[in-house]
Amino acid sequence: MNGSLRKQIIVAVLVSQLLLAIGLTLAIVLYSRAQLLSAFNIMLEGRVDTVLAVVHDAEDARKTLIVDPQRLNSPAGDLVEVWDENGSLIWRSPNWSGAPAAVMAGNASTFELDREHGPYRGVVVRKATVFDEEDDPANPLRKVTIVYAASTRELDRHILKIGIFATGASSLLLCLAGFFASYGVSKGLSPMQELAKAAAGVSIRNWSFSPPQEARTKRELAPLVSALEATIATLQRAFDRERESTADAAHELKTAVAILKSSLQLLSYQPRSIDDYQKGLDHALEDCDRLEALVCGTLSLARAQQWAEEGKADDIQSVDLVNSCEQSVANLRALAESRSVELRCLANYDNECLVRASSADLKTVWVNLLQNAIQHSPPGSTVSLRVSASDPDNALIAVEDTGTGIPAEHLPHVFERFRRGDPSRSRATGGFGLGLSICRAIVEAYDGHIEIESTDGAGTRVLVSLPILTKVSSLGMALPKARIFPA
Amino acid sequence: MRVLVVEDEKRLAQNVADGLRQGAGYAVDVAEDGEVGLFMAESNEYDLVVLDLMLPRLAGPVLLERYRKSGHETPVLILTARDDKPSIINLLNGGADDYLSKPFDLGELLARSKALVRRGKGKPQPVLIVGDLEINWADRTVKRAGKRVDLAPMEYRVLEYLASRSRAVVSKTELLEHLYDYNWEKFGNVIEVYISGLRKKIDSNSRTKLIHTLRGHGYALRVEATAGLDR
Repeated sequence: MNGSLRKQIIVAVLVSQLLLAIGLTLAIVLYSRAQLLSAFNIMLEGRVDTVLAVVHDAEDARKTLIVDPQRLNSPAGDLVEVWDENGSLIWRSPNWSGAPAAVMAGNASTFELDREHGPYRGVVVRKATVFDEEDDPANPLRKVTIVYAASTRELDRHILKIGIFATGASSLLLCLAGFFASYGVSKGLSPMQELAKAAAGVSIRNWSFSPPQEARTKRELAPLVSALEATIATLQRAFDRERESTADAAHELKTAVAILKSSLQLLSYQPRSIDDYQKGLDHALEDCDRLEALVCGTLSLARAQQWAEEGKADDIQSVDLVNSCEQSVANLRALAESRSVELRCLANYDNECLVRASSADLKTVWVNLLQNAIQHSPPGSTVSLRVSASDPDNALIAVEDTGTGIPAEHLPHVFERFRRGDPSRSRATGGFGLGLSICRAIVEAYDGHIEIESTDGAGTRVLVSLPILTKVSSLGMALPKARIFPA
Repeated sequence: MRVLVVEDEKRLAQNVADGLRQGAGYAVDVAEDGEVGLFMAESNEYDLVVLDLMLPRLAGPVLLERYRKSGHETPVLILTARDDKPSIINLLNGGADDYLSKPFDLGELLARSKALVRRGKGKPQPVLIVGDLEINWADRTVKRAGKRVDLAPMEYRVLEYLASRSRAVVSKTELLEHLYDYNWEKFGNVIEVYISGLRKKIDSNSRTKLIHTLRGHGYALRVEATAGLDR
């Protein structure tokens, strides 16, 4: 990981603040400079007026204008030139060699100069001298051009000072703002960090997830917290269930192997008669068959569940439900007779009732349910399979017995793998507790529903509902999810 | 010796019971669920309990806990399909004496059972010696003064039990209790028949008698300084 949200946000805030500070400093400096320059220009113009005041008539024949430097009291470093309207120099301050020609030729009223003492700024003013009308009533106005420049060193120093102050002040503010930004961002992000830490602590070994209370109350984080909580809880349940059923499967498989192994070891423990060996081998073969049945059942269930989850679509044909039920009942007639149980198949359908499913899968369901019912029925009782329409879209198949029933405390678990309604009894019938799990996986894979009702000692009823494929809507109907158990 | 096997898988219980009968010469009772198992364990004197963990009605660990709480000291060997360490540690801490993971080796089951029974009797030696009598628990052979003595299975079992309680007086009832399983009709005179058979095979050729009868009390296998109490 080479990125940090906190760092990114702080850097973004600081950069924007830095830009703001630079802009503000520049604005202050530029504005101050403009203000100072305009004040400087006004000052220069004032000084031009004082020069103009000392221009006077020489009182000679040619009416020459002269400047009396004795009366001029402008500051020592300033540069002054006075020209008359014919373009001849009247007076020039001694510290100057004259304004550059470009200044004189141009129309600009201000100019800048670089001299060895530093930068100068000057103005060029064309103005009329005003004399007493009594002195020369014929020609009261004589125009002169005054060029006046003064050093801007002081001015520049001033601007520099303002610049330094502005920069210092904004740097200080920037530091403060940066500190507050980093504090604020850290504080603002801390619920998120805590949440991330809490989430990182969750693992298969440790499911406890305790998000910080603050994260729960933040509008941006609250949905994340509840989503995480729900996901973790679901995952934990799934893991626990998976672990349990894996342990159950392992127990069953290991037990089956243990039986076979101990049978063989017992047989080889001491010399025996041929008859005993034969009996022992038969036992071992029975154990093998049991193991095989267990492995096949476990695999079938795993496949059914996997296909049901993945929704594997296949070319599923339509099957006549009543026909499929009748065939299954016929297959089990011999078993029922051997236990003196009457087997009935009642179809309450006028037309044929089609469902979209594999006929092998459906038969697996009916045979499993009927076998369970027969095994748990007392001799002389009746097991019935009824097919009826529960509503226009669904067919209802009920398998009923009047047998031993299932105790209420076992009822919620009968569809779980390796569960037996009454364990010792089912062991005696050789079941693994896989039949009902397989039934449910198949029925659900065909978008159906299976449930069980039982009264302890009075009998059991298993209800299966399956969506019907009616002829009218068959083409437009959505395909059921899976085809299981290829024949 | 008498063993209780609590195992709901009938075939496995049958194999374990047959193995213990044939391989160790023990009397074996089988219980098919936890409740029956606990009832039998508490109402009979067993020298070993072989306990499966996943049992209907009452789970193995609960059975074990209740059995130990009620003060029984009989060794318990657990059969488990779970071999994760924490559950094994919990079981041993909960009062189990040993465990075997399924699928187990029948020979190992027998060896562990014998070892547990021996240790339960406070006799860790594989060969028990009383005077010049040697009883080998592992291969169930008996020697007196270095010479092998051939015993009928039931005679060996009586001798083995007496040896395991050596020096103590063992009543007839105790012998019946530990040598026959639940389904056997218990008649006291059967024991007398075996004791007299043992005497003939072990004591008749020797000057020192090892099997002593204490009238009204029972029997003892020991070397006695004075022969006054004998017979």
